[in-house]
Amino acid sequence: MIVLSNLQKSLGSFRLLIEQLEIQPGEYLVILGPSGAGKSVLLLTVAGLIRPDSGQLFFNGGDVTGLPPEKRDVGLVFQEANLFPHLTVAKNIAFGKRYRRKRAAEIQQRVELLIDMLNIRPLLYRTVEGLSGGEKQRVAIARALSIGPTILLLDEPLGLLDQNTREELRKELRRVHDELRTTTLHVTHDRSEAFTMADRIAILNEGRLAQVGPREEIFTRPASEFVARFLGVENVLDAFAEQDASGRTFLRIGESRLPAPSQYQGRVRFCVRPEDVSLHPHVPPRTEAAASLSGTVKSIEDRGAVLRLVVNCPVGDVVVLCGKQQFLGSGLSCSSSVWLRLNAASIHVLPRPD
Amino acid sequence: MSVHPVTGFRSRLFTASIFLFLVLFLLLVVALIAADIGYVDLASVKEVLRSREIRSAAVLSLWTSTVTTAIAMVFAVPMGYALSRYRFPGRILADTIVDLPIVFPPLVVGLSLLVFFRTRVGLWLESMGLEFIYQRRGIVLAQFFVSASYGIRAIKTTFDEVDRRQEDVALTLGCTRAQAFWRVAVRNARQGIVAGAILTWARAIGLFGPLIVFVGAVRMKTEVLPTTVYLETSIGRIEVALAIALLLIVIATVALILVRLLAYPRATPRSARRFW
Repeated sequence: MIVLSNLQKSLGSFRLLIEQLEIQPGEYLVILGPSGAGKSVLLLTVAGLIRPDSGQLFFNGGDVTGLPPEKRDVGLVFQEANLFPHLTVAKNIAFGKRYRRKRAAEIQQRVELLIDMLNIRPLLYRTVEGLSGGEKQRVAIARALSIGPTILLLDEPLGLLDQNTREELRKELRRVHDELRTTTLHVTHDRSEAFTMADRIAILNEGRLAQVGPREEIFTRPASEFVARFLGVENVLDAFAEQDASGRTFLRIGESRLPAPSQYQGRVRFCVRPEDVSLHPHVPPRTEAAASLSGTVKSIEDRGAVLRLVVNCPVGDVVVLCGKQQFLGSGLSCSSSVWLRLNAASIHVLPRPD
Repeated sequence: MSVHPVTGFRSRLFTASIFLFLVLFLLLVVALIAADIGYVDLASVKEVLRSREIRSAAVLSLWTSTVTTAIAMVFAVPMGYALSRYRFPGRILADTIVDLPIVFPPLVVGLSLLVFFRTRVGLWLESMGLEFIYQRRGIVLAQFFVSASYGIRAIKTTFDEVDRRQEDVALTLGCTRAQAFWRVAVRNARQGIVAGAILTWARAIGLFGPLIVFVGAVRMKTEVLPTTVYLETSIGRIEVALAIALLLIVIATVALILVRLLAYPRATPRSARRFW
């Protein structure tokens, strides 16, 4: 297990402070955050390439805070692959063998395994210069894994690749991880990458962890408005939370009142995903489990099979996804009056900022 | 492979004006050499090639400038790396001091060296057997002082452009800092180091100013080719002086072209384009 404890680093006006972060053995943890959040600083601190001002770092129970990078057993892959240009692909991958004499035979075995696993065999005796971006990154991944690292550190490893290669490499990285079970820390600002790759996601903002959790939880139950907005939750709306005599909580959304769990009373904000809002041309039947809102269509954006509508409601602008056929079939258009329905189950009340 | 851009009248005018400067400069250099060649007669050339003293001066020139370059590189590679990779207090001052020898007037360098060896430190060095004044090793010292800056500057610039992250990766793969320096940084900076060596060597072999003050012009002992040119000029044998100068130019040109071919195997950078 990798443990970061009260790790602190100041760089100019930026400050990274990780109070506690644990990475389980064999886990694929993605650090997700906007640029400038300190993701790379965090990663380079784990690698030993940045010395923290204070705090501790443990690899499998041992304190490695004072160990230099060459003694930490970490595998490192940057965005630009950074292969050694004077060596062939084969020598790049086997580079670490030379500096770990005692384990040379074991590393050689691993190198062979990785060459097959990542489909590098046809490239082995090529120079680095002629490789495509995806090939370079596969070689860099093999090179990092060759030493059998305690943790694999990936700093935006797919950031410079074209979309097809990126998706292909996502699958390959995840497959290699599933086979080797190397503990992995992957840094990215791409939320779809985080969602497809991660076991758990840690959201980093302005040097602090905003939320850490399994990926589904992060996406369905964001811990703050920042996380919700950063994850692309477009509907962050106002409501009023209240409690009845029996202690049940209700949310008042516009004219509707529906039971929904909330730890807070009074004015709150909640989020709901566009795909969880349904659109109706007429007043939908009233139910206990859903809120109805009336509004007018403000804008329509054609996204192929679905339309993305913005509906102006008393609680704010609500983004809705709606099938094209369904929308056009009901004779609606821009500035039509419509009704929206929000299921109680898909509503997530955001914690208040302290 | 080069590409042909679409060119209009204005862009051709631009290209023409750029090449105007290149051609003017080349003409200037070639014209000076041609004038030398025109002035020199065959007899002088024959005399130069036969003279024992001049041959000895040529050998000494090649030898001292090469030794100077080797020593300068021992300093320049770690210095260039230090100036490029580390941020330390006084870095800008250090960077400036590195350039100072370039702006020293040559004669002042010679005088300064003379004066230095009359200070306590200098006298102590001499008492330890390290004599420089009027000695061959004084040639190397003067050349080193004047020309090392060029090499350091060139190598620092190269390290600035060498990918630092390769060294970081090398560390995680088990290299020590020193191993990452030699096997990754220096290996990648090789072309720049060769370029720095060329600059240093070229400056050293043509150096004259400080030598006449510091080591004198002792035939067969401290006489290098630039000194010979001076000696011949001072007794009015201009043709011979110029013939020696031409010899120096030929030696230097051959050396520069050879090293350039070795250091830059790819003749044109990828960003180059044809202009016609």
